[in-house]
Amino acid sequence: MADYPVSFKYTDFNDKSDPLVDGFEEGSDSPPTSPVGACASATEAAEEAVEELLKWGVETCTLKCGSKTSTSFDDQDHTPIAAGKTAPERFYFAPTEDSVDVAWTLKNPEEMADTDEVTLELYAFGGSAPVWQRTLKPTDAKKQKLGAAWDGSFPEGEWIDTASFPAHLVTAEYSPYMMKIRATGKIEKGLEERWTYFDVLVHGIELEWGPDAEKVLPIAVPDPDDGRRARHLYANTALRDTTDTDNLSGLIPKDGENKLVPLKSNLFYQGESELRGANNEFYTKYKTMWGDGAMLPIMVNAKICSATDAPVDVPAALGNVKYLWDWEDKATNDTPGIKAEIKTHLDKVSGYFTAESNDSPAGSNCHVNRGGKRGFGAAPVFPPQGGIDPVDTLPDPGDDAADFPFNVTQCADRKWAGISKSWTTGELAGKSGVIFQPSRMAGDAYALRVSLFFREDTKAVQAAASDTETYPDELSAATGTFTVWQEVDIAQYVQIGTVATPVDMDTVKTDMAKFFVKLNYDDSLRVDGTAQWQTGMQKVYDAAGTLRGQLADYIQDALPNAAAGDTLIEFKSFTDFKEAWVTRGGSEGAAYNQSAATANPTNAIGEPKYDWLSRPQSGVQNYPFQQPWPIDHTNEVTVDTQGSVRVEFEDPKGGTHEHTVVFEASKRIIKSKNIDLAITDLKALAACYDNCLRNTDGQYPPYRTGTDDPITVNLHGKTNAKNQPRLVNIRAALDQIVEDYWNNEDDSHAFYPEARDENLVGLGKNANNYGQTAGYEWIWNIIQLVLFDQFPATNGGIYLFQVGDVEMCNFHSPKAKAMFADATGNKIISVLSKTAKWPTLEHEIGHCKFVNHTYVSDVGNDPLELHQEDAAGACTMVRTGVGTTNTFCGLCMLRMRGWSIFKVTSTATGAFDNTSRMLKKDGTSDL
Amino acid sequence: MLTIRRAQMKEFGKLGMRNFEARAIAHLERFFPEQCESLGSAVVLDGVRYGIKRATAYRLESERDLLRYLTLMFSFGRNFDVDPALPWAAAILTSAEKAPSRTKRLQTKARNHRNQGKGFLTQESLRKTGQND
Repeated sequence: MADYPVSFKYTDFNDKSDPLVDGFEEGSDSPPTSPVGACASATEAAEEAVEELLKWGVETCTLKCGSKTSTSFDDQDHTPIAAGKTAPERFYFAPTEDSVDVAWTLKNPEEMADTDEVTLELYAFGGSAPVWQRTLKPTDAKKQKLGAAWDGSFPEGEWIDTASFPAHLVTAEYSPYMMKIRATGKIEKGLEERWTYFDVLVHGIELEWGPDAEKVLPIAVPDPDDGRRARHLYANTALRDTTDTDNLSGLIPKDGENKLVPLKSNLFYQGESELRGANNEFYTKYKTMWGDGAMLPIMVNAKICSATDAPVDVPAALGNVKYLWDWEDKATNDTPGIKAEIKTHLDKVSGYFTAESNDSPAGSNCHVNRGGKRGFGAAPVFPPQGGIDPVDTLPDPGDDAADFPFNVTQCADRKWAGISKSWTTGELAGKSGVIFQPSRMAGDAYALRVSLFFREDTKAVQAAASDTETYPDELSAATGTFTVWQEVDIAQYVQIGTVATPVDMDTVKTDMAKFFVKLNYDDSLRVDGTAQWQTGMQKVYDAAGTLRGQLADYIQDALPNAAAGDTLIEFKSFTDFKEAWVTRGGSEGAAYNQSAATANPTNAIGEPKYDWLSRPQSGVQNYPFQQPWPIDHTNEVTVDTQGSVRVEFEDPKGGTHEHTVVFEASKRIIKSKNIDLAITDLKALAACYDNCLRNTDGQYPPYRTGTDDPITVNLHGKTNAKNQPRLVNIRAALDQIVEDYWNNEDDSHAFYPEARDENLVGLGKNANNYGQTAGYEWIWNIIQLVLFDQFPATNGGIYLFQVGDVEMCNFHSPKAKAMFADATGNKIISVLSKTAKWPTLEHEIGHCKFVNHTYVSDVGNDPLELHQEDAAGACTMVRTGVGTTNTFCGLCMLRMRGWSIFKVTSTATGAFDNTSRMLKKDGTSDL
Repeated sequence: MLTIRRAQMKEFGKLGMRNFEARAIAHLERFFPEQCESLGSAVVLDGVRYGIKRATAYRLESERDLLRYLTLMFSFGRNFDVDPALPWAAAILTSAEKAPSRTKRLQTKARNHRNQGKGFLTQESLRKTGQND
């Protein structure tokens, strides 16, 4: 390690080619016309001798502070002053903090003539002309010391180089110094001048958080506010939280320590299509959320060394200092508990262009090709800032983007490094800083190093300052590791009724930590939400309630106006629903068809007749339930001797696909019902079927085309054959049929659920677009409204909804299901069966975070094969059978960390080339 | 005993001065290399002889004092001794002090003057430095 301060010699302050210095020492004392030199007469020699006795001169020049005294010099060829502040003849003090006596001794001061004088001169290192001087007449010269103790400052008018010393104070910037005294007059030979040296030294530099992020973040609050500024402020606040003992209690990490940088990332999928990966959805949305990463203002503060070796804060004594900010890549995939084969895969993938270049240090943080900040053209970790002139108080920017106070520029050669300038005055006097902006990729890790240097910002200086082996310790400071993490919240863990064994959340948290996701959960979030559920449902039922009003009309009309009591979700009877629906239709326009009453008179049973051929062709099934079924289209209704009812009708539109739909119901099913009612029901069923299943051009379902065979829907109820779903009763038949038909995910439909006790098909299938007509997501609508209303979470997060062994549950919950996030993408519900365990929850969280099933378990769900080849079978994201030995595979982890599946072509916009794969199942990349 | 006649002394004087002129030129080329190159050797020699003449008028006789005078000439101009912007020059040169003291004081004043950013040698005065009056 290089010594500080450096060694120096006399000529470092005096230019030997100065004509007014060295040029005045040349030549002999003899006239040039004399061949052998001047030959003074004896008289002259005697006169000279007498005159010598009458001459005076300077014998010493020293500085004194406390017990220390500097050395006086008279020989320009003295041994160089050694490096290091402990070297002999080294004298230092802290300007304005220490008091120094500037003193000299004179020989024969009484011989000073009135015109004689002494001149004190101050030279800065490397300069040949004094930067300050003061001439003393005999009266003051004979005092042999400056009148007052010297604090390192001189009056403004005495400074020669005012540009370099704007504070009129000696500074570390131009240290070391030479203080010289010169005598003018009848001076004894050899006593013309004396000098001494002193230093103003940097004691050390320290890193600190700041300035106040509220005042310096260059992020405006957009309109509407998307929360971006709040997220950055949250990260800053979290890093400085002195109560967070798990994260170094707000301190900057020291060497060997690790500091978690939390990026609040409640960002969840909003549809099935976002799971497939072909659209790189999480990478894209995460880029929108976090851009180039969290902005973290960090400062450096340099202290001056006092005469007693104490660090003192004297900003003015620093001078004009600059800082080189550097970072080291500290990424590792070796997280606690990670499986060896997963780590091996991660190491293989991240071992990508790892060598150092002009643009990037060596390492394995996420590469720019995958959306990171390592490699050619990567966004800077210390983004350039314009800086502002020093002010006494930093202004409050309000909602505008603030101006970061310090000027920061990119380093010329080490392009990933930055150079910052310091303030010499004002609120931040003596300090400098940068915005440290690590990438947004969870797992990326950085160690910072900052080096102080003076004045010249040359490549050589930058190279020296960045050399950790040789640069003086006093002039540099380094941190431990900052590691980027995503922070995901469990908003609430709501249980309805008794759940024998809650999900082991500690294991989930530990597992997610393996890929740098901090799952915020503590057991106070787990509540029996029965009471709140009922309260919320009451608000849903309330006819004038705001919750009810957020539901689609057809769902509103299916709900009672007052809670019925003992089920999770109450519904009206079908008849009451229809009445409400028809009533609504009078004022809702053509979509509700009732306005066509004049064009469509009532049918045979007195219901308004709907010309269903003219219903809106919007491409979306428009509320078929709102439309009275074309019962007149039924051709035949028969009841056989066993009580089976058969309803047959044809496609009245005609065309190429004419089908006969036959509904049969066994006597067993209808035995308890009035036969007329059964016939009515079946007719209604048939009509609904017809309405539901027709596509926009009036054709029957595509997959049923190509045959004229009658479409038979067997209502017997026990069979599991395809297209003959098991039914409980006629009412349930509809949703079964519709569910059976609507098996592709892009279609949507509506149906009416029978109240209570029905075995409604699993939650979440075919759900899409809450704003449009729904299939099963009407249930989700209600659950989401109730949970979000009763358990508000400002930051968003994942709601766990687990229905225990309660009689009131009137819908079937699958083992687990990650419902779609709300419109903000910020809140999501994961439904859990009463026996769900932690592997299941982890699987659902994977879906929440945009991860699909594995290709080995669900080919259609993973066309790009986005799972680690040698672990896909044991990946947590297998479609079925997730158990305690499953773990997220390497590709899952990287995707959830935010890495791009495809080559990023623009770091600014995040655009990517979806023909160039960066993440492949075997760990390789196309590029 | 070696007897040196007056004529020989005179020749010795001429030779001594020629040698000194050469040393003076070398001195000036060392401390004012760009100026000397710009002026050319003939003009520099002319300037040296002019300066010696002026200096001896101020009772500066030793080689050292003559070189000091020439140094001041090349630093502040040909006629620095009577330059109104440099009043201290004339005052010191005409004072009764011995030559070494006077040139030493000139040095102090000159350095102070220069250190305070006041007029140093301009191109115009540089050209004039080498011209015969």
